[in-house]
Formats: sequence, structure tokens, C-alpha cells
Amino acid sequence: MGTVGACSQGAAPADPKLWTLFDVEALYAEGAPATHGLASNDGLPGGIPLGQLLGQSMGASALVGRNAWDDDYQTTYVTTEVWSSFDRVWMQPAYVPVTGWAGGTPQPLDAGTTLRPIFSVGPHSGFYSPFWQIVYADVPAGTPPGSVTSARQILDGGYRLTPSEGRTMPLVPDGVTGGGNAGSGWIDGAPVSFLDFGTATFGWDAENVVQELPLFVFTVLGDDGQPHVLTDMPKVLGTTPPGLGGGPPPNIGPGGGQPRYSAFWRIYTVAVPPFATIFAPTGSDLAAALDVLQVGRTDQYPAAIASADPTELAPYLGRVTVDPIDSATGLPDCFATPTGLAGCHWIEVQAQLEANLDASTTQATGITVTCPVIEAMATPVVPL
Amino acid sequence: MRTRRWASIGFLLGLLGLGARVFAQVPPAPLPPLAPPSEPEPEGEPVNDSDGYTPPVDGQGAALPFSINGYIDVGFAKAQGNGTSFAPADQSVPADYGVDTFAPAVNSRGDVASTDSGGRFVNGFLPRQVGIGGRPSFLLNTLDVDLKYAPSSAPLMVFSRVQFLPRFTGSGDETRVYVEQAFGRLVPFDSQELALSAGKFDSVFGIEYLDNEANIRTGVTPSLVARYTTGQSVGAKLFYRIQIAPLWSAVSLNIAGTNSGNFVEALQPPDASLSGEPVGSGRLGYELNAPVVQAKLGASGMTGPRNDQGDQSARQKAFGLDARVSAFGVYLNAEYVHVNEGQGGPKTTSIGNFPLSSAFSVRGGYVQLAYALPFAAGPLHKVTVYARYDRRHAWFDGFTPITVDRLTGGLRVDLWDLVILKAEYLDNRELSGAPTVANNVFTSSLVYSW
Repeated sequence: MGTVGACSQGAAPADPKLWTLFDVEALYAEGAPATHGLASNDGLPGGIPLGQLLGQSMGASALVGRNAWDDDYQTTYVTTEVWSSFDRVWMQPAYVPVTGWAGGTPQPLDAGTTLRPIFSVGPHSGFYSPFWQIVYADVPAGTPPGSVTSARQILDGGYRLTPSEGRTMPLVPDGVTGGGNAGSGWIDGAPVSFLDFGTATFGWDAENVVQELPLFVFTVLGDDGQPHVLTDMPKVLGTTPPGLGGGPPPNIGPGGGQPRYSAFWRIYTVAVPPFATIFAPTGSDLAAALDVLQVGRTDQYPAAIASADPTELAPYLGRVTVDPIDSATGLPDCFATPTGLAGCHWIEVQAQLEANLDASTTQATGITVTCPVIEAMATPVVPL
Repeated sequence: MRTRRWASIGFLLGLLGLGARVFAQVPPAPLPPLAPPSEPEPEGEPVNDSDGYTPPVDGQGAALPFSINGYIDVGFAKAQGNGTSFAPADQSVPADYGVDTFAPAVNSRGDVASTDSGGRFVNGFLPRQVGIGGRPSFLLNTLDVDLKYAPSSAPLMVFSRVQFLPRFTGSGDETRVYVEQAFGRLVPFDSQELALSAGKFDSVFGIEYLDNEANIRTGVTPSLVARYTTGQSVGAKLFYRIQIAPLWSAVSLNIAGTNSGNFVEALQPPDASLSGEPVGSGRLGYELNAPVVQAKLGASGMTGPRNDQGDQSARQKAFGLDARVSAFGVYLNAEYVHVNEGQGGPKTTSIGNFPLSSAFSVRGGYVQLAYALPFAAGPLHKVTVYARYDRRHAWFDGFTPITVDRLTGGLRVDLWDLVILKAEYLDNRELSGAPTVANNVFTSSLVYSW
């Protein structure tokens, strides 16, 4: 525990800690600002700000979408849990009472369009996990709906149990919106809210340890000699364990399916090397942030870029390219015009990152996160 | 005058000691009265208000400063099911958080029949095991060797207790050599019943630690809360007792600063401080030593960092109440324990390393009733019947609180002064939270002492 984070940024090994959305709400209630960083000493400069998990929307707590790239498509993900210094996270069982099976389809005891799972571990345990294996329990046909609401009842009942798919279903405070299908289940006989991000969102091994994939976060070296994370720089979603070259995510679902990404990630920092360039046109917030970090930057964005419609440039903002830098301008030639940006060699997928950047620039942090992707290829990802 | 007063006190406490010793310790050697201030304790260390756990009293011919004592505990046990408390259908992890893994105990050490979780992840809330699962098996629970040196030239006693613990591990046999105690005890003042000890010694919390050893314990197995109160640890302690003769009473104070407090070694390693801060513990005791009834009451406390991790801010606090009453051959022991532990860092126990030390709370206790009937029929010296009711309510943060109880009934036969035969049945029940499992135990113990 803690060794990954310890070696990544030289930070002292931290105690294992988990933050759920319940903890985030509690921190807000205590007056913590949205900039308050979670897991700030575990390898990711500044940690993960509260504001990147929950914000306010129409008076209610709402998940905050964050941008990432994969295979030239922008994706949006939300963050529901943050683990610091956990080297493993386990899938836990969630029981669903069923009164029978019709054509191989379970018939839930509690009628309705959404599952009413009985969760086995609450969000206040360090072993809580939003990664659940649905276990169908065959209860007698006459069982009253709502009468089976605890794991003990299931296990004591001696019902036939059928382990099934894994689903990403973070337990959340009542009223949280912003991703997934909202639902209500049970824990120890009490109702609890959850968001269902569906199946095919994680894998697990024989010991029910959830398989992690890399989520790459670029860092910029400041004049202070320290790496910094700039919030406007999109992340890169990995699709294989580090070093295996990535690849496209699987398409799963009806009608040819949709890209299905992992919901469980370990954060890796990627130091932007000197030969790479961040697209941060003059006048943008990102450029201003860079100016603060690197006083005396001499980048000279051409007039065509400076005068371009910001919406035209927005898809490229913060992206990193490894195109050769013109010594005269300090920028790659593909930055000459807005249309030229499409021709840059952007680092936007794991394969490009691993092929173009030295492995020493990439460091595992001690931070793992639940970040289900809610939009890919400009289309909402529908939970299966 | 002084001699007469202490003789009186000694007689009274001798009566008390007789009750305790005949009941609790083998061999039931002739008891000395409680030592006068010039000799606070003849041997062993003064432990709260009893000599329960200590090596046998020096009897006739005890002038030799060096002695070797010990016992062999041979068991036979059969647990229901697979010898664990894990429910076969339960897949939640850690597997040891939602059940009481200590329930299917088979011997005085609290070892259970099995802790095999079937491959499910566990997080170190585990007892030691004997590896027999649900199979009936003979066991060599303990080979105990006690060495004691008490020179007449100094108010010092040196004691060590080394135990050999042969176990089947699942992949072969293995004998663990365990230094359970090793300490020196100094009695600095002839006029005071004050003793200072340093080394590895017994708990000072509650009363059950007095019965840790198989040759002393009334029954075979410890209670469901023994895991929190009966562990040995390394450190220093002070014992002081004052007699109040006109009231037939005494008041004692036993305080210690140790590495790990009072948890058993399977839960917190006692041999080093992981946090760098000692754990304080103590017991304030009152004794009533009337001719026909003896009563002992105590209140205990413990506070400090939990020693299964390194973060000093992860605290553990406990308090307990205990009572013992004996009259007319009937012995009543009762104890209540209240423990809270905060969440800490990565967990280390004597069994291994685990990811996380979760916040944990427990409330529980037991009541034990025993009746000892003395005999003088050849080798048969005494027959004791006993029963104990345990109840434990515990929870890890975020996990369903569990409530379990246990009814233990047993018979003990003392032969000569050297052999004890004990047999008991443990009816373990999961009252709430934990799934119901078949984990009752029949166990027995044949203890030879020397």
C-alpha cells in the first residue's frame, strides 16, 4: 500500500483513504472550497479537487463531467469515488431477489424498470466499492415485495444464488444527478440511492479484485521546479494496462454498440516533455495559466489562430502534440492555421502516448478513481 | 501486633486464594496466605488482585531459587461445518468483517478450527487456527515451559514462559515457538505491596487473562471478548495493593504502558511498537474477603494508538467492568468490555500484513457460573461443572453490525494434582447481521502439569 504513490512524486506514503460522494458532500458542508484537493499527497499534484466530483445544478448536487480523449474523440466522464493508497479494490456482491426466470431473464421480486439491489457494504467502509456483482437470489413466488432487504436475509434464506454481471453502481446521497440511471436499493434494511452506470464497465479476477486501467494526466513543469496539473488539459483514457499499447475500447450494446470504457482507473501522471507542445493559444485561460507557471514563455501564436473563432479552437485546447517545434515561433508548424490543427500529431490515445513519450515521463500515482464515461463520440453512453 | 494483623489478612486472603486456586490452578498446592508487605508476592508477578496466571506457588522445599514448571495441553475437537464462521454463499469482502471468525474456538489459546476463507480476501481480523476444518482431530494445543528465578539475595524475580505450538497449516506441519512472557519483577520496598515489572507480561485489563493458561482456565475456551483483553505485551507495569483489614477488604491498582495494550497477538503484534507511542492500560480493583463470601470488583481502561498500524492518530480506547464472587463452592465471573478503534493505516498483525485498519467497535461480555465439588476418591480430587454465556455486538465502519452469542457448557475433572480433563460444547449463534452458519464446537482438553 502506498508504494506507488510514494515513488511517483517523492511524497510520504499516505494512509489508505477512500472518498465517496457522501464524503464530498460532508466536506462541502464543512465549508471546504471546490478547489480542496482529495488525495493531494499521493502523486497527483494538487490531488483531485472537490469541484471535479460534485457541483451544484439547480440547487442539487450534480456530478461534474470532465473531458478526456480517446481515438480522436472527445469523451466525458464523471468521478464518483477517489481512493488514495489502495493497491486493490474489490467487487462486492449486490443481491437481487427474483421470483423466477423467463427465458433466462430473471424476474425481480420488486417490480419496476430498475433493479432494487441489496448492497452488502456501505459507503463508510474502506472496503466499500461501487463495483458490484449482481447475485440473483431465487426467493419463493409468494414473497412480498420489499420484504427482503438485507444480505443476512438472503444468506440465511438458503436461496439459490446465481452470480451474474458486474455493474458500476456508486451509492450516492439522495438527489445526486449527472450521470447513470438513478435507482434505489437496500442496505441493512434501509433504502439507499445509487447511480447505475451499467455492465461492461470493469473486469475482475478470481479474487474479485477489480482490474484497473490507466488514466493519463499531463503535468507541466513550472518555474518552481514542480509538476503542475492544468485543469483545461484533457486526460487520455487507457484501454489496456500500461505498456501494452492500448487499442480501441470494445463496442458493446445493441445496434453495433457503443464504446465501453472502464469505470475504474489508476491515475498516471505524464510529464509533458520539452519537445512536445501544448495547444494554448494566446488569450486563452490555459495560456494564462501557463504564463503563471512558466514566466517568460515566448510562444508566438500566428494571427490566424489568434483571430480564429474560439469554438473552432476549443476541441484542441490543452491537447499535446509531438510535432517538431519551429525554433522561430516556438510552436509546431501545424499551429499555423485553425485547419492545420487537425494535422497535428496529438497525443490522444494510449498507443500514441506510449509510442511517442519516453516511459520515464509516466508515473503511477497512488490514486485510483471511479470515472464512468457518460459520453463518447459525441453520444451519451447508455448504461447496459 | 503487626505480625498478627498480617496473619489475619493472610488468612482471609488465603481463603480467597484457596477458592480461586483450587478452582483455577493445577496443581492445587497448599496456598500461602497473601504475602505481608515484606513479601508482596512470593512468586510470579502480582496481577491485579489474584495470582491466577502465575507459576505454581512454591510449596514445600521451595527454597531453590530456580524452578521449571509447565504443562502439556492435549486436545480433541470437532467443529461443525468447515470449522469456520464463513458462510459458504457469502462473497462479500473482507470475508472476516461480516462474521465472527473467533467463534469456533477449540482450545484455551482461542485458536479456532479453521480460518480458511475459501480464497476470499480477508483483512486480518482473524484468530490463530489449528487447521482441522470440520474434521474431528486430536491436537497438541500447547507445550508450555515456565522458568523462574527468584534469588533470596535480591527482591527480584525473573520469569519466562515459552510455548511450543504444533499446528497443521494446510500445507504441512509447523511448530511455532512463542515467547508468551519474559519479565523481571522488582519489589522495591519491604513495607509496601508494590511491584514493578518490565518485559513481556500478561494483560492488566479485566480478569479473563488470569485464566489464559490451559492448566488454570476452568473450561477449555476463552470468551468471545477475550481477544480484546487477554493479550500479553512488552512494556512496563506497576502493581500496588493496600489492605484495609477492618473492612476485610483490599484495593489494588495495576497499570501498564506497553506496545500493544491488551489485544491478543493475532490482532495486534506485541513485540514492537508500530506507532512509536505506548498504549496505557490499567485496572482498579476492590476485594471483599469475608469468611463466607469473597467478591472482587474491577474497572479497567485502555487508551493509546492501535498497534496494528503506524498512525498515532488512529486511537483505540476500551473500558471494562468485571466481577467475581465465590461462595459455598459456587463461582461467578462476569465481565463487560467496550472497545472503539479509529481507522488507521495499512494493517499489520502477528499473522501478516493487510491493506487497511478499519474503524471498529465492539461491546460484549460474558457471565460464567461454576460449581466445584471436591472429592477424595483415589485420584479424583474435584469435579467442576460450568456454564458460560457470551454475547458480542461488533461492527466495522460501513459493514452491517453483527451480534452473536454463545452458550458454553462443560465438565472438568481434576485427577491427582497433575491432570485435568475438560470437555465442553460451544453453541454459537448469529443473532443479527452475520449469516447463520454451522459453527458449534465440541472440544476437550487433557492437561498435564509439572
